[in-house]
Amino acid sequence: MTREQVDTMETGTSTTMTSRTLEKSIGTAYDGVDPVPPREDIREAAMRPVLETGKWWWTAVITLGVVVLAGIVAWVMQLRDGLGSAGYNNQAFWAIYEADLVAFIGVTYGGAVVSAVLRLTKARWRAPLTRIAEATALVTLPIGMMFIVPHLGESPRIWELVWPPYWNLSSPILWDFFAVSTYLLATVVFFYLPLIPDLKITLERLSAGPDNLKTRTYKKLYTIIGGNWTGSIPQRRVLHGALGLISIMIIPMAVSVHSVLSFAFSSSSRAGYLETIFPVLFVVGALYSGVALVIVVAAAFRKGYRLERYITEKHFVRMGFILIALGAAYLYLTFTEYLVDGYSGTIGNASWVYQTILGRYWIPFWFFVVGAGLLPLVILAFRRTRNVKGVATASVIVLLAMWVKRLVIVIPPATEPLVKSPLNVASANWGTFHFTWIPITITLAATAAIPLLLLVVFKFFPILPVADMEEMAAEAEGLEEDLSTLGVMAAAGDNTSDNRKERKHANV
Amino acid sequence: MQMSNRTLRNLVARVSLTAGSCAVVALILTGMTSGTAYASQATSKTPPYTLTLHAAQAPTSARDVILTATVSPQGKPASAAANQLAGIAVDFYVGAKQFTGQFDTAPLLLLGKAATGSNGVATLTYSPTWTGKQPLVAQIDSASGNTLASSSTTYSATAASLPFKGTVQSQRPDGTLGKWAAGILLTVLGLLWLVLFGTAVRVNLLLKATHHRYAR
Repeated sequence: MTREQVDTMETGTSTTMTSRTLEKSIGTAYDGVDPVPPREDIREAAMRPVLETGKWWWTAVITLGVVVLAGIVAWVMQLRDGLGSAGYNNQAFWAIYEADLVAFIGVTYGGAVVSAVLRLTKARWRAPLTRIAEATALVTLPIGMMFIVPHLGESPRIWELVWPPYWNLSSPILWDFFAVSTYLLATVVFFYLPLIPDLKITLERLSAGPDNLKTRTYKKLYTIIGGNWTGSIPQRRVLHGALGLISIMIIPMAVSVHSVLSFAFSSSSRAGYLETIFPVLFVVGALYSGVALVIVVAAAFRKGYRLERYITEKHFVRMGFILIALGAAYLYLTFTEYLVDGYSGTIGNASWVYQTILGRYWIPFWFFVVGAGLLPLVILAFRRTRNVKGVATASVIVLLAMWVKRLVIVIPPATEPLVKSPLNVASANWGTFHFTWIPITITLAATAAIPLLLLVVFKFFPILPVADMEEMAAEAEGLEEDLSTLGVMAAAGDNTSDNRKERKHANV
Repeated sequence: MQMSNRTLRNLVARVSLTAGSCAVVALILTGMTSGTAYASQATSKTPPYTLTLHAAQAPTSARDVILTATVSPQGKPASAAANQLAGIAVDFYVGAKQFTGQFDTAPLLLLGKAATGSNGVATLTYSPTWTGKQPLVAQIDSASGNTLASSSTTYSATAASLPFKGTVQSQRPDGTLGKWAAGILLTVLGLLWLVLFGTAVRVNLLLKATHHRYAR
């Protein structure tokens, strides 16, 4: 292959060769050249959030910003009045903030772990979802970490938790801080690396537009963090190698984060917390709610930025199947937990299981069983509801039900009688957590912060992984050509309604 | 009407999913029933004993209280079953102050256990850690195989002991194994940070190098 041929491909006139084929054919002689042809449609769609700032964007940002501000005000009020104002008391010493901490750190899994697994397994369909998934992990993790602040009454002394000599190396909280902060660093690197080629593309696009303060700032930023990208094969090799390493590293890191978080419960001696199954239960629960959040975020941004052509029904159906598999696993683990405790015969466990399933906490418990267990299964079981709306609705219900499940994990054991009571074990001396406006506002503020930060992130960075998608498209086109040559193209499609529509169009 | 293979497969899939869901609910109900059964087991027995609790200041110290619990068979004098009354374990509790300050809803804290003598009397010396009115409860220990019976009384303490004697130490891995474990974990953590930072920096350096080489 000559240099001219490679240059021709760069202009987009030839789109049939893949980077791999090119690598083989050109060797090192032309490895300074980007072998993947640009796709204008993908670039335009990916840059929409960066270049377009509609009225709805400002409305959404201001509304969400007000909710976040209300949360900060609530926290200040709590600092003034103490944890009692948030509904805490001597018995309900752990409650909503601990549940929020588990829930918000948990939802980061969908982005990081699922994206890493799909990258490692080289699932082609993942490409349009990875940026949204990784950005979701990136913004939800710091929000989740923030919940430790209102959770501790004495917030100004929070640094003593992690600073020698005040730190306690025996405490799961300290190790969880280490695990979460390492995971945060990994998430940042995992978000940054695939962004490098896209930053160069963004830079080129901005250079073609008007020269004002905004574009100058963007250009400076992108030149610093991604200006050296040329798209050559050696550069792609370096990037793919680094991404592979981080993808492998991030999986055990994520597992450690949530299992260490579960040690805060399971290393205590309290019935309902002292559970050896908790590390696994927490990790699976995190994956379950994390996948649900990615689906919800993808559905919202797909609608908001008109990305239906790239994030298709096929993606939602496949993510829906992952959701169901994780949901079934989580339900089974929950059942195991309650079954073993129920049969243990000790008064503490029997009392806690009774109160959770049939007693004072039966409403949240059964809400979880129906919302996170049965409804998603039913929605995805029928072809009629197995579509974008159906999967997104199921995911919203899962997110809500899984948050309630975290309350069910935290509150019943916290409020159970501290010592064996001489009175009726089923009803005596149970404490109560009282929901007040303060923790509810703080929880709502954290929830609002997720879309707010995502809107801001996608104002700076392309919403679709352009380089990845162009590479996939080039590979797919190469593959299609090969398959059509062999006459087996018809057998290669899958059976989602999007694909059926596409085939119908093609036939017409 | 003839059913196609595909329709049949869909039907089987739906039936399997529905059956699976029902099985999950049934299994959870089983677990729930077991919990309930144990909870009710613990509460449904009828006590054959009566218990009387008495609290009085110790003659030797104004700070100590002697708690005396007397067990007697229900409806009979203690002397009628003297041999059966020895060795029954009795738990003593005190109602602790709570957030609200209301004793009637306060949790009961275990003070200690004592076994009855042949006269059916168990005694325990209690040193209150706060002054004022405090509810006291005695209960026959169900773990001893005897059924529950309880009695309560109130005592007004005029003097209190210090709650802790000596220095309270939090648990820290001061032992050799704990130190090594913490050290190894912190080293692993440091290496992870190094690899993560290193990867990002290395990628940037390599990109810079190849950029200068191939920039057109």
